[in-house]
Amino acid sequence: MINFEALQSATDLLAVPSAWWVVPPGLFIGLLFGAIPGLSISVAMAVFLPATMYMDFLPAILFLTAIFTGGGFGGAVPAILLNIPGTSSAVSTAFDGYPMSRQGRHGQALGIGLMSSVLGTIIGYLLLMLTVESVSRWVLKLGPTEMLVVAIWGVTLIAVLNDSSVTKGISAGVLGILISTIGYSDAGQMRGTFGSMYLLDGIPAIPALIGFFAASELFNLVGRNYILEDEKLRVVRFGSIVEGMQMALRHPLQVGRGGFLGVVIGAIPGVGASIANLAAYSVAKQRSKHPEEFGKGSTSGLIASESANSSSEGGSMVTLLALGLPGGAGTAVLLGAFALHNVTGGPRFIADNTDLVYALILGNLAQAAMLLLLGTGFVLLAGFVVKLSLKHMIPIVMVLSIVGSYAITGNMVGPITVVVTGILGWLMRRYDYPVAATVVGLLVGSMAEGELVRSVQISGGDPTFVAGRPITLVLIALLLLSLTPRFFAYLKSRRQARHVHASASGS
Amino acid sequence: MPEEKSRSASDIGGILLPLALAAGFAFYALDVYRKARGVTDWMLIVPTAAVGVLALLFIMSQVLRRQARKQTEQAGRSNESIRPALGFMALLLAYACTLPYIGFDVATFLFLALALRLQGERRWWVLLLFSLVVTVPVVLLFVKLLSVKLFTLVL
Repeated sequence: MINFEALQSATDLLAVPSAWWVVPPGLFIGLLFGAIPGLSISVAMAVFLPATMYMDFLPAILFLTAIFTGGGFGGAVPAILLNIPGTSSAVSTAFDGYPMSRQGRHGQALGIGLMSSVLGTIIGYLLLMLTVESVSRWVLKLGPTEMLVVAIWGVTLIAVLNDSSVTKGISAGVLGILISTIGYSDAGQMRGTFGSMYLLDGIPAIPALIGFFAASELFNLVGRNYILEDEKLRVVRFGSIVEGMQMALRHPLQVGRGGFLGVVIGAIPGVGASIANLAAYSVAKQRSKHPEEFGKGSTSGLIASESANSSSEGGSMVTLLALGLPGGAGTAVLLGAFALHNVTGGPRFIADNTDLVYALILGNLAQAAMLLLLGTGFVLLAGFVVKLSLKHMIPIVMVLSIVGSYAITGNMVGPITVVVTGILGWLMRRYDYPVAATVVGLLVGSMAEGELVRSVQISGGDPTFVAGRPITLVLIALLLLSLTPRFFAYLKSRRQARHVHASASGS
Repeated sequence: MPEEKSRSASDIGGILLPLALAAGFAFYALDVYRKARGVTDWMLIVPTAAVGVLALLFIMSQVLRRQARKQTEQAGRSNESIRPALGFMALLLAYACTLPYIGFDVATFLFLALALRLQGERRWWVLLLFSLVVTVPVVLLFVKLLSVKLFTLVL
């Protein structure tokens, strides 16, 4: 189950200070961006991605996962104090966190949220540690046809399992795939460059990712501000935070259940923390002896939400490390960091770098402990942090994005890409196209093309070749199966719409 | 009346965006197909673009059908003013384009001051102080500490 030799090497890899000094700033950035309504974890990760260029691979990933972990809890702060989830993964945190604040129990609620997040993160990475060895052995059986289906599955799930329409999701995914093919192909063909030498290497993925995730969101936020009106909420007592933490510790079953659900849901591409917190909340409500308390300040509801959204990080890392497939915006940025360091995630990665994977897991377990300390300090200042002015934050984050992208490309292609993809992303958000699908398409597009070419070369162009590949068939079946709930939901909504239309014309 | 105007603008955008994307997909796929030397050059791009075009045509038909039913497209932020966002985009584009000419330091200083002004800040001393307090550490971080080769005029 656990490769102890690799685990020993992992501890050696972590025994250098350079692997650790990046973690507290990462956690703080995550907490800050998560706590400021409007800014999100993916914005933080995208903006600070260029900074990882100057780090080794392990500290770079630890820095980004620290932002991920910090942001996981940071989003709970405005959800609890303002009823505005700082991130989509904290939606159900507001259901019970905010009523607790209204009852004057905001310190307790923040303490419960922090402890549940810490425990959720630990559960997520412990499960990753227990499964990664078996997963690595299994994924090595995947050939080009299987990897092609996996890539299609990843983009399709992200495209289909979003809040927008399926067609908008598919169009967004296609856009990403097509953008990824611009420039010189592996076969030496020049595609979509319009004769510009700047585009020979294609559209730079990282600046495009920064534009789609960060710039487009910041354009939306221009002119907005969130205000914490209740002066009392700005004061958080240390005693009440500790009280809240103890309350979370007294509910191990809820923490465990939320954490487990988070891992499972987080491992599915396209679903992630945004769904994990809602699903865990609804399961906790169904199983509760007092479901009537949910929505009115229930401790169990808050625990379920926060433990699930934090543990989903560990789940999404399984898919990222084993298949090289990002499950959502955060892991898409992590995959971008892999590319920045010329590391390819996927079947061979875990097998060849088991020690590195264990180092990542151990590093993240330590991050969870650090989050407990740093988060407590942060919570004490929470009332002031949520008040930070977006008016000032937006231009600062924009400058960091532009200069960071210049640092990556070394020429003006980076900044121009950020601006152009930012405008395109803003238009897409305005008309409800999921930009995450575009980014995932952009990141896995070249892999999909490579696997497709290899599949055709192996099979000689014969489609019946797939019939002799049982894993490919199983993956295709799983792909279709995962699409059926959305298909039935679509049929149901159409039937309802027709019914409403018929009733309206009848009356 | 202004709301109606904004809604109809939103509807036009709801059609123009998929139309532009579909045209872009089709143009790109045709260009790749025409210049291809073998099937491997286009076998991902052409079918993927075709799926995208079909999806976008479906979206357009839905928007048109809704319009016919006098149900306006519910673009999430259709009734909000987009002027600040558009102004900010123009400002960012100008910032990115002028970086190599007026220097990273001067361009950043001007961008920060104008961005704050665009968002309603009127006090000149706040504009100057904020721009200065942010520009200096950012320039020092990227140019001096991280050795990013960026042209600076003053610092």
